[in-house]
Amino acid sequence: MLGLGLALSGASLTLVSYVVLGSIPLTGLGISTIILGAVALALGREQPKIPPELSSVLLRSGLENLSAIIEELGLRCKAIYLPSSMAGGRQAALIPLLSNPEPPKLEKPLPKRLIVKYGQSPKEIGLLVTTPGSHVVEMLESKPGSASGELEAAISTILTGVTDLADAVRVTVDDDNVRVEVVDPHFEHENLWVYEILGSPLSSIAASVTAEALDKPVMIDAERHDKDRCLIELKVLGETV
Amino acid sequence: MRVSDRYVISLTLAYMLTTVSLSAYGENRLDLYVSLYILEYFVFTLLHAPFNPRSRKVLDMVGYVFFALFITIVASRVMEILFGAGLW
Repeated sequence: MLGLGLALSGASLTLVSYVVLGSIPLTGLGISTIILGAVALALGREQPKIPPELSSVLLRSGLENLSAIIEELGLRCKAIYLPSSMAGGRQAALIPLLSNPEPPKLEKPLPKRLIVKYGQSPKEIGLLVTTPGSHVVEMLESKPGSASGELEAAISTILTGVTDLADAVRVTVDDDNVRVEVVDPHFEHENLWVYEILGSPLSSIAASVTAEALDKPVMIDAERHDKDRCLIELKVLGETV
Repeated sequence: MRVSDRYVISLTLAYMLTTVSLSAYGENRLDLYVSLYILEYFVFTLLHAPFNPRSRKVLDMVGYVFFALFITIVASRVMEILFGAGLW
């Protein structure tokens, strides 16, 4: 509405200033108002189709249900984010039931099921769950490359452009470690059990995009929330899984 | 402050500053005003990217129109230098 108003008043001002008044500065002002109107119209399309309150309720209830399942099953292992090529065509996170200091080894791509067997031993089973990052990865227009800059661009597109969860993102890749710095996150961190296993939605998104970009399993090594930034340390598991 | 809010505010301030400065210098070439607005649009859009895909589509379309306009202005100036008469 604001955009349309600005564009129309700008057009009127341009016409009157140029034709009637013959004033170039005022015509310029009118043209700049038209441009601002077009920009406001474009940005107005950012408004989500679902009200933010409803999105928040849906996210919260989904996370609480997942948290209850994880807590009830007594899972303590950190989730391993798998690329779509290793998880039945859709990016997902594997939560092993067995606590083990070493990350599990995957011998073949996992089927698209909730409970999956990832190794030879009967104890090597886990939950293959969809995370907030799984769906967000699908919003990328193309699969990002594995270079540091491409990874940063992909995470930045998701966190600052698509979801508006942060103001800026910086990514540094050092061998098997990926460090993601999220500047001014617009997300209130809570201490939910599920966050200990899957990471917060911010980390989940960063891990999902990284796993997809590198086409390798990724684990959230550490996550620190400060006042105006969030530091996420990711570990690329390479061929070990 | 959200990135989109910052983008609109920066662009508004830049346009205001450009209009006031050029009119204070008594500048009466409309193509100069428009060229600077277009340049500022591209600079600030690039500085505040990435945007939501739906917004980006519209901003890209606006960008194409501005680019065509900018090329026309430049072509007119070149013609004026070479042949002594521009497009307008």
